[in-house]
Amino acid sequence: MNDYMDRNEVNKLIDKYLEGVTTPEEERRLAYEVSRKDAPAEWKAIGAMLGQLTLDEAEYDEEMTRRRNRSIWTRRIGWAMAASIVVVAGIGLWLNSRQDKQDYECIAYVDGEVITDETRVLAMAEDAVCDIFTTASESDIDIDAMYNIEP
Amino acid sequence: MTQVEFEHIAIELRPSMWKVGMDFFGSSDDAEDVAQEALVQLWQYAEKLDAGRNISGLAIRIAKHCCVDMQRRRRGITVELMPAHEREIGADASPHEELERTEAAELLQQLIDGLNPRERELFELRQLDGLSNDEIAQRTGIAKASIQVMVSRARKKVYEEMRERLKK
Amino acid sequence: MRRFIVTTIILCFGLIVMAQDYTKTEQGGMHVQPVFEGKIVKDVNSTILTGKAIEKYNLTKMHTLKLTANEEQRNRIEELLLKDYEERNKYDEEVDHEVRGGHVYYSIFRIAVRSELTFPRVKVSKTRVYLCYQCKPKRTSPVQYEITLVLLEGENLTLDLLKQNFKRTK
Repeated sequence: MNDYMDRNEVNKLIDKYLEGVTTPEEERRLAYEVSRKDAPAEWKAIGAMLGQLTLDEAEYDEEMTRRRNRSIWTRRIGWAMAASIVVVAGIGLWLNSRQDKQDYECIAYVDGEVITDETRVLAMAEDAVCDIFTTASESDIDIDAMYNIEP
Repeated sequence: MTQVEFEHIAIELRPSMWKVGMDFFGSSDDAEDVAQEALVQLWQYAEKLDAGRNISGLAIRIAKHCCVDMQRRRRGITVELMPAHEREIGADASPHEELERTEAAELLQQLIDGLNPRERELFELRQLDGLSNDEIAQRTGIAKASIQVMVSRARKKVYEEMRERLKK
Repeated sequence: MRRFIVTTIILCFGLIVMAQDYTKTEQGGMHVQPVFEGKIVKDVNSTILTGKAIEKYNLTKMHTLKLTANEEQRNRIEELLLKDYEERNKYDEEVDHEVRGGHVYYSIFRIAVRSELTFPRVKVSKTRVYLCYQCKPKRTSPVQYEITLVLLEGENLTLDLLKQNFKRTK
């Protein structure tokens, strides 16, 4: 109950109070409204009639509601975190399992052309690797040190 | 209500007042203080009431007041319920405001005393016990429409008089 | 209820973003990665193979690259290769290389693999990764170089096994 009502609304509630048709909750609200610092004399009379008990009851209930909302929010965050971990774990497991099943790639890019024929792609790849390993096996020079590169 | 009658009722009311304090403070010691203080204040009301009057609603309201008041005291503020008793002027209330409040409360009491018995009873059931018209109808057996009329009349009487006197 | 759903979505998103840090591939962390991506030399001929086709070689991944580079590009590629060698080569017995004329002629070395956190489980990888490089002057132009760069991944690989598998039969 931090936001005060406007004066017209308060006066309407006062009329309702004097008609004897306000509920206990409305009376608690009214007690809160008429206890403002800038309340006119008429409102102070209503405040006196409503009594400190009504105002304090309103304050008690407001405090308990505030605490309940804080506790609910803490619980919600806890559940939200648990739910998000489950969701992300689920996505991760799903992606992992998909990856195991669909781990197959066979593609070549030659002079801007895309080749997907497995035989051709494999041949090209083997050729490249063999090139290097053949060079290595043919070389009879045994030089150490990648660090001995001359400037 | 005599003290003996009150003590008998107090035994029944104490646990629910203790619970109000426990819910608010979460401490058994504080809850004990609330129950104790609330019973003292409840007696100050009850000794003026009839023996047969159900004061359980009033007891809870007073317990809630005590909780809020204890919290205020811890912050250095105090507001007293009963105008005729010693009051401590809290840090937040100026002497002038406190005096105004006291005078208003005393005036109110005078005006309530001046109502006819039925109007007074209904006024107090609404103001002190915090009962709705439905609850009052159930408790008293009076028709709800009549209750509304009588409460309205009582309130308007008191209000007009208070407004005039407070202006002076 | 709405706040609960919104909070859950935000937390999910945050967790996924955090998980990205832990799912980087081996190749992605290498200095030579820009070469594979065509950022040093734009026109490259490349192949990427995974799966059944290369199982016979005990490989799980094979990424080859052939390109023609000028001197500047060659030097840059060599620089990146050497960085990977310095930082990632921990296996002296798994190195084979030759330097000619002050530049790397060929190089084959095994690189250390980071422990991968593949969300949601931690996987300590058994994969072995080899980086293979060759740089030869182009026959038709001495200031141009034919570079071959290969990344091989597989479990239980050794240098000897690779040499055996990829020995060209004459």
